[in-house]
Amino acid sequence: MFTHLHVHSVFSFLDGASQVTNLVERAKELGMTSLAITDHDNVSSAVRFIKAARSAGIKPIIGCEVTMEGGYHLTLLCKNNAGYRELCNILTNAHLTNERGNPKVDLDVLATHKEGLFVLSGCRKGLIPSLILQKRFKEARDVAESYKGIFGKDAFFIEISESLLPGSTGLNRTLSELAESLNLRSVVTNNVHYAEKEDFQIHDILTCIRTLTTLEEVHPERRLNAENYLKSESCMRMEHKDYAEALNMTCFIEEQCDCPIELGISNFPAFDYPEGFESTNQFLYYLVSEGARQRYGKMTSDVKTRLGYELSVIEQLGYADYFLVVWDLVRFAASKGIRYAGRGSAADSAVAYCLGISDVDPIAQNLLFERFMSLERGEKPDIDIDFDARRRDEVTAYVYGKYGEGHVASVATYNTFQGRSSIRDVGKVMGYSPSEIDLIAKRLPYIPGRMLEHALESLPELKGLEIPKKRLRVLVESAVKLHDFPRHLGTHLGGVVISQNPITWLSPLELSAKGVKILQFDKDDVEDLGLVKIDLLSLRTLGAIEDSLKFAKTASEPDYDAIPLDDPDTFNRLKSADTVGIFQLESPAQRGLQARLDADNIEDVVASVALIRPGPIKGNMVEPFIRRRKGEEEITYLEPRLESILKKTYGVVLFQEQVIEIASEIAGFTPGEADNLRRIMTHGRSTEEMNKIGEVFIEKAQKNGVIEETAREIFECMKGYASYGFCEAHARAFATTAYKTAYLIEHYPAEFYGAILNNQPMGFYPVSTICVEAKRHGVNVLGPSVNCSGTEVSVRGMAIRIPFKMIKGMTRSTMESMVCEREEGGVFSSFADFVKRVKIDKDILRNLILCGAFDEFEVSRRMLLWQSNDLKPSNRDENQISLLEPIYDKCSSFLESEFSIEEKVFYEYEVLGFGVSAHPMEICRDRLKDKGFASSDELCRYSPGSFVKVGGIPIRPHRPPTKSGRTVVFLSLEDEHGLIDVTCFENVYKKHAKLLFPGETLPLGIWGQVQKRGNAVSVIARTVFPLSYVLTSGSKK
Amino acid sequence: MSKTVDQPILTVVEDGEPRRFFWIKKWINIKDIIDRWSEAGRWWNEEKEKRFYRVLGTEGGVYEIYSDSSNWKLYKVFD
Repeated sequence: MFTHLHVHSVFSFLDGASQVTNLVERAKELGMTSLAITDHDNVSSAVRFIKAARSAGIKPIIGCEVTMEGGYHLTLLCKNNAGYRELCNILTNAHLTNERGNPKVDLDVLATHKEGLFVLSGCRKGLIPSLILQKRFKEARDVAESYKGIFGKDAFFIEISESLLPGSTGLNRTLSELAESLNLRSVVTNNVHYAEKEDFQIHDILTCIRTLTTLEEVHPERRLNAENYLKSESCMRMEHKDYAEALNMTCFIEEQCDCPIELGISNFPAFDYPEGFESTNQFLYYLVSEGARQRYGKMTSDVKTRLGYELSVIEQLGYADYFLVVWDLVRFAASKGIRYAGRGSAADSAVAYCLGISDVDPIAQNLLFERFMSLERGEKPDIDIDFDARRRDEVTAYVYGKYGEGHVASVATYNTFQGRSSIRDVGKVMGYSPSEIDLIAKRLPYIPGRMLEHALESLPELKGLEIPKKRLRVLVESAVKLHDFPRHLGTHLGGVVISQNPITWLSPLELSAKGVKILQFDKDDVEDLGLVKIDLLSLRTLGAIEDSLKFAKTASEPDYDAIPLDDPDTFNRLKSADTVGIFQLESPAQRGLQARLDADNIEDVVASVALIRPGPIKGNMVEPFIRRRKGEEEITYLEPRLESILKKTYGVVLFQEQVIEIASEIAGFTPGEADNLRRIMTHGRSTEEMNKIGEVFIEKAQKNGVIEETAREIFECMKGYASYGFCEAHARAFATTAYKTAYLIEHYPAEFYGAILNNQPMGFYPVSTICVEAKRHGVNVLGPSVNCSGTEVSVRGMAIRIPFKMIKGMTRSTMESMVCEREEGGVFSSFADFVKRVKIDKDILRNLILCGAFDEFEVSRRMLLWQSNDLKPSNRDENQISLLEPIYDKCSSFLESEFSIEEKVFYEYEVLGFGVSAHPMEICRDRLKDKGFASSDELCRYSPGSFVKVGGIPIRPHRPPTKSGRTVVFLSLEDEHGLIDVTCFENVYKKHAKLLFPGETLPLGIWGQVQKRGNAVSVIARTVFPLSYVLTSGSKK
Repeated sequence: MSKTVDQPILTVVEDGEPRRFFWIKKWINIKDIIDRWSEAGRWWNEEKEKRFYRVLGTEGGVYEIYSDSSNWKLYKVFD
């Protein structure tokens, strides 16, 4: 029996063209009973390889092709767990002691960590083969002899591979003779880089991407032929007929390699509880009791029963340490004034509430703990916490400090090829010009690669591309094949693992782009490895809240925690759909909902958060919900017992917790069974699985006194709604933040809009929209000023001052030097004074001028630009200006004249992303008015159904899923007074797709019908046209 | 030194490998295959894969011949 011992998967990042599952499936098809994966310098494929191999009945062998000092390769295979740990150590050392992305294994390190490893001499890039190919036979022999001395003749093998490359015949003959002369054993491999021969083409493309070459260019890394596939045993025997013994040696090696990783063994550290307590459980009980006293005051029997139940589940499942670790983190954050908020299903837990992890009271809200944890499921609970984005790293640093560098690491993500990135990369390889690539990529929606063919065929904006069909077909077909291939390792947004044992027992570490030590596994794989992930997420909204409170301190100092949840002004704002800037409630769909929902309590906000999701929209749940909420539709229940469960959502199944409750109440499901039902429904499992659990539900419901017909109806109803149900606990956690941001924006507009600008990028809208909205609410947005701006936004009264950091190209050091010089030397008296005192990069100076930061000196921006061009570079640094003597030459009147308003705004957009001097629409308003265009503030005067022309800058055109499956495009047009929401139905979209998704910002005009729904006015588009057509033409449209 | 020929030849194949070929009015028997390799070519232009053999003729000549699955060609003749 033959085993492939040198195999690369897609985790060789751009040097492997088959997914792990494809390799395993192919090995199985070929009748193989074992397989090794040996990716370049990582073991990222290990977990999914083990799982796939086991399910296929194939023995997985974990290995790695390491890059040695000098760039030479060696193939390492783990015999056992000891070998795997040593491999992790070797790889960690190779990654952390070398430049990022260029790991090198030191031979001495390898020698120290050789236990439990087989070492194979490698492919043509191995030191021994490459010396032979250079005819340096003596050196090759010396190296082989030295490796034999280091690893021992039982662990070191000469690798023979018939790669069908020129010189292979001679190379293999020499390698074999060398092995024989040194009493070493040889082993046959095929340096596999893809499962099947035809996959070579995609490997060739990946190689071109990796080497930044096009298909027409030659590069030594590109393989000459398509021979590196998973060949059958008979093929390998035929091609290596002179090396039968070496071929059989694969069997000997395979027999000695056991799977080195046992999946699912918990590795979470024991929490170090204080003296006086006997166990973590006891300490947890104590903290929860203390917390409960603070949260609830009086310990009612309901509270005691609920907490007792939750604690017993936590204790039985052994997660007391996990809760304590999380408690310790939020305690640290609170002690440092770092704003945080628990999210997700953790808000279903009263223990989490009492520990201060979540702010939602699940007892008061009657939330189901089983959605979060259950004995039957027995899975690790997931506690996600959002921290103020700017201070999240402080919390991470605390974790590293507390548990030790060797026991903490960040979780990786596998950055994969998606639709756009595949088109861009493959396009470059195929020699497409940047403009050709942009033409396709910028118009593509964010779709996975596998949907590219469909998108190219169906999206009208991608039709009629001036690219030859055959060429386009090769591009798209190749891009599709890259679907989901990992491109490189990234860092998970907030996932950190803490381990009991040294973390390198389970995974090698490497450095992320930000310099953070990351594991070589993603969030799913780390859990299979027994590592517990804690999500320390960063949320800019929390930073905005913090900033707004800080800005407001000079006003009336709001107490965030004491914000009343029944403020009429806040609800009035929601009712008027005036929600741009409000967390979770600002999208056009949310604004449309708010305009009709008439929200007057926090429950409405909770429902809003859950309703505007792809599922409920697609499932047409929104309209029935609104009608029932407003009493326009009767609320009925299929069974009286459903009333208590569904009353809060007007008889509609909106939350996942409700599915669990129905299953328990109607069919008598145990909590675990009920949650299993919820999982089957919410994860869209197979029809077979759904039918199976449906029959169980109906049978049990009948036994519980429900007639069969009703039971069937209830199940169908749950099935209909639950596939897009939302976790209520999560909705409640978000709703609280949403409501409070609404309160802040209502009562502290300058402070909150200022805070949003200070925390960019955040939210749904660009900076320009936030500025328009701020102005619409009476807040004055002041442009940057060298004498008034700081590094951060400042707020004074109803005015926001734009900070230096929002200027394009600005650096921290420049900002600090400007502020520092101003504080030490006083305000700048002129442009000349500024350039004399501040050492500044020319491009930054240009941007300061163009955004009006020197306007207070009353010299035209054009003149300043001219003067800045005349500044001579300092001798010390060519890019810097230290001052000199600007040449104030005889200025022409042209230089003294200011830019036109159009020019000013154009440059302000370029530098700041919005217009300080004016909004672009404001400039052309008179001309638009002449041509009969209405502005956003005039739209409400039009009666429903009347036709109107509107114009503006399109903001976020998007096409959410619809129940009918037809494409509907929603976008907002921004003008100087606010937003105009526009809906384009399929016929309009098909006709004007290239204008709606042009791949660049193109001011648009829309002619359509006014629609009023609730308090919202929008336009149903009939025609879309570039606004420039109207502005440049003389006649009225 | 070598001369590029790139002309079609009649080739006799046994066990998947060339045994003799006909060129300039005579059969050349292959004594030994010195090297063999394959080339994928410009696949994006629908070029076929080629299998190359550097062979030693019984008369002492060294030749490079290749097959692209349908045709055999003599590619080079070495001095």
